[in-house]
Amino acid sequence: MGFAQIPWDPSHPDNPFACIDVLVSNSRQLMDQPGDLGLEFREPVKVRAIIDTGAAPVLISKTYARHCKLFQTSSDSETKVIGGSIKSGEHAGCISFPNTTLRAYDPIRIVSGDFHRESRFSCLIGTDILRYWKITFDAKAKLVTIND
Amino acid sequence: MSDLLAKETEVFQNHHEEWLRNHAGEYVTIRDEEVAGFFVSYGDAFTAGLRRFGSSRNFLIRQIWQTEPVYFVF
Repeated sequence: MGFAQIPWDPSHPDNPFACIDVLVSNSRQLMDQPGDLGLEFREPVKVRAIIDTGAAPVLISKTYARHCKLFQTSSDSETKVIGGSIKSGEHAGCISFPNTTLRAYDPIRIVSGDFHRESRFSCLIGTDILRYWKITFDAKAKLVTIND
Repeated sequence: MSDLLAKETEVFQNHHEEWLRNHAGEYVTIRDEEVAGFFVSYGDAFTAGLRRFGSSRNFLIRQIWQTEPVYFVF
């Protein structure tokens, strides 16, 4: 059983979202594939992710999806978001949580899209992962506790 | 990049009605016109795709639904 605690003060203007650090990379299964030449794998990249109960998939900035060279498993299509839609593709990858004991998800579907006008996070953790978590928020201590 | 998985997407669209009858909600894995199978999870579909096709080229994984799912983000 994994565990993580993250500070969150929803009333603070610089910290309005409950966020957690995640490492994004290609799936271990892909990197362990024998005999396929020409694939260049990047080191996992650490990004800030918002815990988003309104989203189903994990969504990551297209910039990071390209940087990580995530293995794409669907062509680009429209994804509806509040206020419009974004062009998105689906990828198989690995999501893990550094400095916690939460388990990694590998392989998992990762949707890539552009985060317009948002600098505080570049990844969303949706219900594909949240369904395995128990999340509690202690408003007095301003702490989010996650168990999986 | 814009043609990535275009052929596989066409195969998916051509078989969509047929697969919907017996595989609704499942994931299908396709490369070129070859179907690796139907799976209950995205992870299983990916693992099967790697076993069948390797990683030298992308393959398509799509969930079979009556209508395309809409992701409401944020």
